[in-house]
Amino acid sequence: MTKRYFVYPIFLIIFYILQYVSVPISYNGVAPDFILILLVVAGIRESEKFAAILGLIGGLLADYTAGVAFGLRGIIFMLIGYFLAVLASEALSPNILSATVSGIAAYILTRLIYWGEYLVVMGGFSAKEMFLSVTLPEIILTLPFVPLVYFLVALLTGKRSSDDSRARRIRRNV
Amino acid sequence: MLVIVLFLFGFMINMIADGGSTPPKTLVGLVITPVQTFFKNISDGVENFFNTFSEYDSLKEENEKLRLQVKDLEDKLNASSVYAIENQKLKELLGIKEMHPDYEYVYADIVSISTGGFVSKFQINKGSTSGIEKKDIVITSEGLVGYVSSVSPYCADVTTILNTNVSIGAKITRTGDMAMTEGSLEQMVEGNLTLVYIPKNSNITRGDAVYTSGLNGTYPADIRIGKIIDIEIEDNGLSQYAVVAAAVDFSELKSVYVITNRSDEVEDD
Repeated sequence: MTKRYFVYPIFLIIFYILQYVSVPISYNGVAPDFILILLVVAGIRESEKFAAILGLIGGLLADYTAGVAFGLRGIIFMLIGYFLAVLASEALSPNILSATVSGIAAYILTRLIYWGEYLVVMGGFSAKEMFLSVTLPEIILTLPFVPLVYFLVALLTGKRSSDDSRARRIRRNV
Repeated sequence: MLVIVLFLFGFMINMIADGGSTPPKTLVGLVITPVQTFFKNISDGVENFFNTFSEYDSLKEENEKLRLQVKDLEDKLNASSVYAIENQKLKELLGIKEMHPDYEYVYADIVSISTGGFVSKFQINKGSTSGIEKKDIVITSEGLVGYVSSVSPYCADVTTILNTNVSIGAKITRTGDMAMTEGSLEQMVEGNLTLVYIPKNSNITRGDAVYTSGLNGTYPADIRIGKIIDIEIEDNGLSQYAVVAAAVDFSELKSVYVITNRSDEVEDD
């Protein structure tokens, strides 16, 4: 179980560098949202507390570099991580398909919130322009990495800790 | 968790209302900026290492041929080329400094960039301890980059001229016409700006250079913004607008100069 305390932070650092520092993969200034991918994988595989903390740290890193209102991504990612972990312990099976579907849902949710942030801070914008110039290229770049990241994390961390959370919950209810 | 959410929400609202940096962001910056600089240097080193491999065969063959004949001359030629490029950049910067000899400049490296596509901004590894203040103008030898939107002791955020909320008083040097540049999402991804409020009787053409006008004192005058690459008629048919390719290649930007001692400030539009 302690492997995840090394694997996720290392992946978070590497993904932060890939997304904001060296940026080897980008199209017209848009790069894959690696931090969100890692959060989704953590939400499916780990406990609520772990996923929430990882989301908070990852979100604050993203806010520091790319955010307009510092703290917004920290809050969003923390909540996404927490509720995704709750859902995973109750209903989701840990596999690449559920990770991909969760990734799509998390991506849509975060982008809707970012659009709202942009609207409040920057003023009006063209939804068509925003979708074609930013959102569509980003989702095309991001989604292919979800299965790869899930596979790597599963390989390195082994058994998911959300199984333990569910077992504890069942024992308490019994 | 609720306490953390309320805490962050309060800082977020304060930042939106007041702008600039908040204590949590400053604290994060103190830790993150050295790490960013470190990994950026490693990343550049790795990139140069692999580039060496990809060009290894052709360079080796050329080196074998020239080494027997003019090796000493080749070394001098390579050195002088590097110096010539650097000399040209310094001359251009000196040109800016000669126009504004009273300005002082702080050199800074870019340590991270915003890749979300919503805003065009990046972070530099110098902050208030180097004399940088919020709303300082940022340039390179190629032209205008943007302004400092928030500053911490050892780092600062730079918002570029491509952003949709940045408007710049502009001048088309060939015709003398005054206009204004604005950013748009569609143009931002291609590194372009929109030139609006062009006089109806203006005879601008593709290739015309656009510089800052300095009229309202927001940006210094005579700093290159870019050149016109396309001209369109507005939907109302009464006026025209142009697409301007920014002089600065933001995708390749590695370092900038910050003008630190101007008294005028950038006004957010």
